[in-house]
Order: sequence, then structure tokens, then C-alpha cells
Amino acid sequence: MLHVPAEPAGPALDAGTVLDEVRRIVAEVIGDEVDAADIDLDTRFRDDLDVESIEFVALGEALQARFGERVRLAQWIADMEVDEIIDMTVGQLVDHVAGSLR
Amino acid sequence: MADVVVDGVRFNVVRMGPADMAADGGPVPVASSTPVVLIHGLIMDNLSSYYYTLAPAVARHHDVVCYDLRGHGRSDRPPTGYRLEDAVGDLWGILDALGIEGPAHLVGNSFGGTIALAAAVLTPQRVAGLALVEAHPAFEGWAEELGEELEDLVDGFDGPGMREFLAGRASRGVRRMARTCEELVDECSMLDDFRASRLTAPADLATVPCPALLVYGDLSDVLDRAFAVHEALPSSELHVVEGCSHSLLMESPGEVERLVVPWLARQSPPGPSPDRVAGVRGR
Repeated sequence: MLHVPAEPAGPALDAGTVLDEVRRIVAEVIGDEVDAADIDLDTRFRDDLDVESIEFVALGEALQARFGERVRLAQWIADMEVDEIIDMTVGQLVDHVAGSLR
Repeated sequence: MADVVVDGVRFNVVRMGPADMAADGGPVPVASSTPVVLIHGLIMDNLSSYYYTLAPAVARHHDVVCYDLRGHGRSDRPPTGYRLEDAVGDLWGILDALGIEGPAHLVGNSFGGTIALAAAVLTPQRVAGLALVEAHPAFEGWAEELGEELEDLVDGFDGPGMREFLAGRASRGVRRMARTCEELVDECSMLDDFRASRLTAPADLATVPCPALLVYGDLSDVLDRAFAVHEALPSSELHVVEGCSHSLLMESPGEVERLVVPWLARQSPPGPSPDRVAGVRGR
């Protein structure tokens, strides 16, 4: 279980804040095999970070726990192909999360 | 996301339902009264194979529970407790912890189907329906056949160049899969526990009262089981998908969805779910 404080309802968060959170959660989910400082918006989850499917699920669930129920990864990816999901960039995920909170 | 602890073992559990799938500001459809549990396959599998395929589609109509089996994915890997009876105990222990007491539909893929069938035999009062993809039932010889396959697989890691590959060029996913396999086969009692499990013989399947949907690929190496299970269960419908192997769920997720989702709807009276209230989803 990842212990992440839930974000109280409040002003929308900008993409930079979301990116920092994604970096922190990726490091928490994957461990020290990834240097979070190297992660930017163009980083690909599969090709660059070698993130496994089950880790990506944990990442999404942790983001939801962090930013609240407006972030709904399951609904967002429902119509995507498996490859499309795991091959996305950090930027795509950050945009989705930031957009959900707007 | 939630971790659920059953008898000291921590399970990685993901839930989703109609409220999670509704469009922002749109109406939330009333969840079916029957929750659906998705049970994944052995060793290299975990709940993510449902999360990316069937789970969201089912969650438009039902409360869905996915979990990583004991020893798999992000759940704990205790050294013992791998009999089929234990797997059935884990399943109901998780649902108890989530407050789901009424009957549930069980969706099982491959070994997940082995567990679902055992659950339907051992605890029929808790199973509303079975939707099985490439299920191989625990008939006579099941544990021995599976044990040989897995021991061969692990022996293969000692083949020429394999250790170097696993230590070097292999992706984290492959390394992790190999480690999972070795730990379950060599360090846990999994294979012994399979051999010590209560079998679900055709005569046991004949006692299962709930309806079942069976889906197999026509190129599957377990296709013979499709016909045996179909014949043994009192009420089942069988679909064979052309051009697919035992990896049917990942090869043709759309086809599996087109079969499973309407079938679940036909077996489930609509009605309010015990723990979720329908309404309009706000932002």
C-alpha cells in the first residue's frame, strides 16, 4: 500500500506540480531502479522506464488516491488498446491528471 | 486502491464500478445487484491483464473487484498456502473484508478459472455465475501436469546463456517474471500444495447450480477441457473464438468483452448495489 496524503478539494494544480507528484509516485512504485530526477514530460513509461503493466496500475491508483476521485484512470484508458496505455508518455498522463482537476 | 489483509497475507486489490466509469456530469447507471470478481492466471499474470481489458467494460454495469493472487503481482508471497482450497479461502476472505457478502459472479482466466470452478464446487451459495476464459479444471492429473510444465520452465533458466541474459539484457519485467516463477516453484510450497488440493472432478462440476459461460480459443492447448467442462456442468454455454490460443484474453480482448459483458447482464437482475448509491456524478 502506498501511503499518500489525499489532496483536499481546492484550487486546480498546475502541470508542474502534477509532474513532481508523478516523479515521486513512480519512484515509490518502482523503487531505486529509476532515478526520478531523470523523468520529464517526454519520458515513455515502457520504453524509457521499463514500467510493468502492474506497476502502471499501481501508479494510476496512487495518483487517484493523491488527487482524489476526479482522476479516473480506469475510465480514461477504457477505450485504449493495451499497447497504447503502457507506451504513453509521462506528459500524456500529467495532462490527463491536470485536466481532470481543472 | 486498497490493500486487504486476510489471515496475515496482504493482497493488492483494485475496485471499480459505474460511478468510476460515468462521464463527468452524466448520469451514473445503477449498478447491477451482483458484483463481479475477476481472477487472473498463474505466475506471469496479475490483475493488470484485466485492468487493461475486461475490467472497465464490466465496471460500467457492475461493482468490480480485481486482486493479485497470493504470491503474484503486488500481493504478498508467503511460503505456503497454495492449495485450491486456500485460493478459494483467499477469494472469500477478500470479499468479506470488502463487505461483499451476497453471491458474486466469478470471471476466471486460465488458472483463475481453476479457482472459480473450485469455488463454485466448494461454496456454491456464494457464486451467482461463472464466466471462464480458457479455464483448465482441476481434473485428475491436473497438478502433476502443471507441476511438470513449471519445473521445466524453471529448469530452462539454467539453460545456455539464460543466467547472463536474466542478469543483463532482460527487461525488468522479464527478470521479475523469472524471479516470481523461481520463488513460487522452488521456494514456496505451491507445486506440493497443488498436488495436495481437492480436485474438481466432472462429478463435482455436475453439482454446480449456477450458470456458466465458457470461452476458449480454437488454437488453445487446453481446448479439450472446454468440451469436458461444458459436458460436466449442468448449465453452460460454450464459445470457441477462431484464430486464438490459450492467450485469448490478451489476443482478442474485444471479442472476450463482447461475449462476457452481455452474458453477465443476462444473469444479473438490475438493482441497487448494497454499498453504492446511484446518482449524478458531479465535478
